[in-house]
Amino acid sequence: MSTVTDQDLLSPELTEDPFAYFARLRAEDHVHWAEANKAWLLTRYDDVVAAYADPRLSSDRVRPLLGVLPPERRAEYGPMLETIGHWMVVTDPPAHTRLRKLANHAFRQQRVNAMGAWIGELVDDLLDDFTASGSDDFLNRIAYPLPAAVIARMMGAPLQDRDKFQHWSDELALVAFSAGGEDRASRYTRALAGVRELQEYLAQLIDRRRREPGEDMISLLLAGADESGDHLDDAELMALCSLILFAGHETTTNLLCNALVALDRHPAELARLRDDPSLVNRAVEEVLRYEGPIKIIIRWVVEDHDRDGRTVKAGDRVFLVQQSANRDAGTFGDPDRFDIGRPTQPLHVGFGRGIHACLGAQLARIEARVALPKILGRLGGVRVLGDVTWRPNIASRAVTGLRVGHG
Amino acid sequence: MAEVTYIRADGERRTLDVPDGTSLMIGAVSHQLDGIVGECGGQMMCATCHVYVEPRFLGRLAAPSDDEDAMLDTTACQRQPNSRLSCQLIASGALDGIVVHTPEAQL
Repeated sequence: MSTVTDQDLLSPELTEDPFAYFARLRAEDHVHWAEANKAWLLTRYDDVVAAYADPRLSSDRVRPLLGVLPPERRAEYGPMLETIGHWMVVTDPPAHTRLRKLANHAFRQQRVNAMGAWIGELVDDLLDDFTASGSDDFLNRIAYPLPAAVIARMMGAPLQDRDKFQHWSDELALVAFSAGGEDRASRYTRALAGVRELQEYLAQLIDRRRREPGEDMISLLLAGADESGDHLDDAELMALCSLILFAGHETTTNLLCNALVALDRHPAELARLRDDPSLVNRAVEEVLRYEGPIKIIIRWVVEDHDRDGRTVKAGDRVFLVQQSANRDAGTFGDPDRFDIGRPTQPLHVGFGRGIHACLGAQLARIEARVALPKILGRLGGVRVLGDVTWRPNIASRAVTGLRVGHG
Repeated sequence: MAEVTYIRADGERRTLDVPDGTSLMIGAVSHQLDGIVGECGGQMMCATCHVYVEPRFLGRLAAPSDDEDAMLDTTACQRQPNSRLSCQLIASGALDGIVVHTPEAQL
């Protein structure tokens, strides 16, 4: 029997600071049934790492939900769940293997490493606008538009469409990251409206690339590139594009904001990075560990099994709590200390591990590695203004806003 | 089964028996070997299992695929002519005795 009183992960207290609670769970009840959230919480690093590769824990977690949806809710939730049910993040092998292989190929061909110089120019332009405007809105003027512009370019979309991406991505996030709070009631209808508009937009984009192929991901996915001649059908292509657009956007925004928050709260580390930008690779990994954008990855149990004396049943949900694993003292020395010089091995699980590991991890890393030194270098005396508050989401660690001052 | 020796940048050596059909990345990660990460699990997306193959063994290896070649351009430490992703090196009798060096950093 657990000695830890169960707490709701969406409560204001845990939304703000869940780390002490997770530390207690790791010590006293590391496989914890969260009654408030109706899920098992895996809180230790080794357990989370093993869980990514455990076939008893399925990623196919949207379609089972459709099956148990009460009829009166089907009209509201069904269409949205049908749409995201095709995303490869919610599929298992062999369906996943096929989708991921095609996506990997198209992504690799984007040669993200060669994008560094272009991303640097983009960051400079955004910083020029930011300083000229006198705005303090870091979230909306830098952290949002940067990943949106990068993803627009990769998808072969016009740069000026990035604001539309931002809107659809926000609406999708309500469902994909399990929003709580006041957004919870309307989240399915809002997300569905966003998805429908996005799909109409993507259909036009895909049509254009069919006629005028380029080097972008859509053109490569249309060309159907793998050696077996396999290719995506239209529905799969649409699902994959909407997933990439969403996943490459929201999370990187949060990574940039969380980096700034962590650095602001640790002035010595901020000064250290400003003085020695060569530390940026390690600093980015430390942000991913200490305050990574994804708190929890959800799995669906498909086979009854025992986990350290707890009986986990088919149909149960399991939360792989990356936010806790990344603070596990059994893996990381002094885990609650933010140290931008920390060795990168053992590696955090900020991007997950294994077949579902983040497709865009390399791209997100490059964006953050390029952006952070420029932000610190060009915004002298950069500091967070006002209190930072976090969105009440199960899956994402996201600020509600981020205002910064400088000079 | 292949006997594989991994040598860290600081000179520490570790020799492991890697079962046939298993990649040198999985062989290393399953023994918590410091120096190889394998974040993406072997799908050539992260380049965090980069190794330098001791040149005398290169003749035993098939050339890297185009995908591996593309990812070798993204390694944290400088790519060399003997650079490979260890997730693409599959243990077999032919690789018995192989020696690989892990880079100073994978990220």
